[in-house]
Amino acid sequence: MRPNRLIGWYVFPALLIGCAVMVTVYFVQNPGGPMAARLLSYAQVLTSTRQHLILVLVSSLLAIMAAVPLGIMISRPQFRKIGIVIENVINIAQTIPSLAILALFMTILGLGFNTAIFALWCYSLLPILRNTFAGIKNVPEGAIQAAKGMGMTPWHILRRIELPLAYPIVMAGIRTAVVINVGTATLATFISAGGLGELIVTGISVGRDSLIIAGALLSAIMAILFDHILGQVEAALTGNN
Amino acid sequence: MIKLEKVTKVYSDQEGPAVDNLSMEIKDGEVCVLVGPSGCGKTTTMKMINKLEEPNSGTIYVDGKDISTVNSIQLRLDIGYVIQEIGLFPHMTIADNVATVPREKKWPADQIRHRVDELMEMVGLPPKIYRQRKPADLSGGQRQRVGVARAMASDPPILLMDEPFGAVDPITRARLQNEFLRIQEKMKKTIVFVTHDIDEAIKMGDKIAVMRRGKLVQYSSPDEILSSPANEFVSKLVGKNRSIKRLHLIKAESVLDSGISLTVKSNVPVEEVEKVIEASYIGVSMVVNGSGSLLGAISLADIREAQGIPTAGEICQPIFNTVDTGATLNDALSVMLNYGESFVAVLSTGNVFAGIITLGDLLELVKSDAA
Repeated sequence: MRPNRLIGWYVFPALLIGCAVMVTVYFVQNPGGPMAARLLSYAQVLTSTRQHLILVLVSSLLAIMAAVPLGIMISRPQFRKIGIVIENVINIAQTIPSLAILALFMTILGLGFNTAIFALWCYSLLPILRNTFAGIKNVPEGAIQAAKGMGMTPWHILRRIELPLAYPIVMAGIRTAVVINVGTATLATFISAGGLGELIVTGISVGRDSLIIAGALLSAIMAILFDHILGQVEAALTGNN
Repeated sequence: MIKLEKVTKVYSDQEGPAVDNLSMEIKDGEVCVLVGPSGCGKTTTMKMINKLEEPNSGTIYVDGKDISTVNSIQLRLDIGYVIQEIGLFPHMTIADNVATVPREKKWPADQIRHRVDELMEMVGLPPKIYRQRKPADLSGGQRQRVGVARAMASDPPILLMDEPFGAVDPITRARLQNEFLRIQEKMKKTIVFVTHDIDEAIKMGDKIAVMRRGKLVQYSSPDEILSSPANEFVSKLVGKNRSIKRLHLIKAESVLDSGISLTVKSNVPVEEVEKVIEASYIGVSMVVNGSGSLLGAISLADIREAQGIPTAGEICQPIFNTVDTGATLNDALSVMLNYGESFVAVLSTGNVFAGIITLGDLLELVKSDAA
């Protein structure tokens, strides 16, 4: 158990970060031409990565804070019917391409960081909400009946029975949302909110592969890192680490 | 005491009432079995007693109090509730499952721990081994034991049991039923027990309430149900072989033959055993140790294969066709059929050999009953 924890929490993340550093160093040393060299400095990569991290973290946290309570609420028996309606509305909203959402919000909220956060937040809501709702709906009816019949209060049934049993599914929703979010955040550059997308988009416009590959690899590594860390959190909290 | 007065329950999505103007009384310390085909309203009736369902009309009294005036959480905390094994909380350990109601009642932690250990001991799951296991690690029979222990955790005077022994094989079920009856003999709870299995009803009930389409068809003791069914429905439910069903009502200890002539001590030499076997009407000799515990049986074939002059204890073979003294004759019969033997050894606590019941004994009983 102990070595597993060591690998899960420290060794594997350190390896991923090591990869990211190697990718950065390699491309900064071999930018492939003077124009790319100007754009591919350590400072630039660091700034883009930091912006990307903040975009993902802030929008994901806000999405979790909104979608989990909402999911719990619409799973209450008295709201279930409304819940299905809300779920469907968000389901349809999710089919709008992410780039279109960014553009749409740009026309309303203008350019910049806040708009990007808001768009990413909208986009992360659904997987979390849907999984929270599904997770609670899937709790065995027998367990709830038994809990109720033994005199547990609705609040205790939610806290001690429904949420712990729904938890792995909720967590899977959060992981999906965050991983998608890392990818979608590369589009934030179009509304001048920065992020690793800036490397990629600049790379495309100046025709330099090194920029595109550096940006793509770094965001891919970030996605894997987030997914892994959330997996560790999940395992730690369910106690089967 | 539980009393139902003209209780009716109608579901909007169903034709006809689920429970129709039902009145009955369940006395303290009695096991009342609600039995009937599916959809007859037995589960609904039970669920109205702990307010999982509210009747459309009529009144239910628990201990003289109209339960519609009682807070449902308070009411339920004082009524044990067992449903089929799916009712265990899969994410909690066995100890946490059993501790559910005491926790809701905010007992101090050490009292809860003590009570959980006591209950697990009572239902035959040593707490040292099982406390930290999850329901998924247990067999079906063990899970149902946990369900019973959990319902008894705060020592409620009333238990509601919805097919509590439904999802296990017949042998395990018989064992659970016997264990439960033994516990009930000491605890004297007021129990409402729902089943669709008339055999189980006959075995478990002090009173049986036969239900059909939401109505009470007959409410009387198992013996009466068997001897004078109220109408054709009840006699069909009970079935043709009523005298065989009576086997459910007779305890093994009341008919066994003490089998002294069949028994040898483990230290007797083999020639003596041979004489006993030749005189034995079951073709084997039972071997017991100094304190009377059954070690096994010896047949003539075992003696023939034996080398030298061993004692009985050295050549006896373990036997599995055994029942407890508390088992019914029906249990004895199913054990015989299961092992293809024409007798069972009856054991009291500590494996002490109490006697023998043969297939012939059972036939004799059924015959005299039918006559």
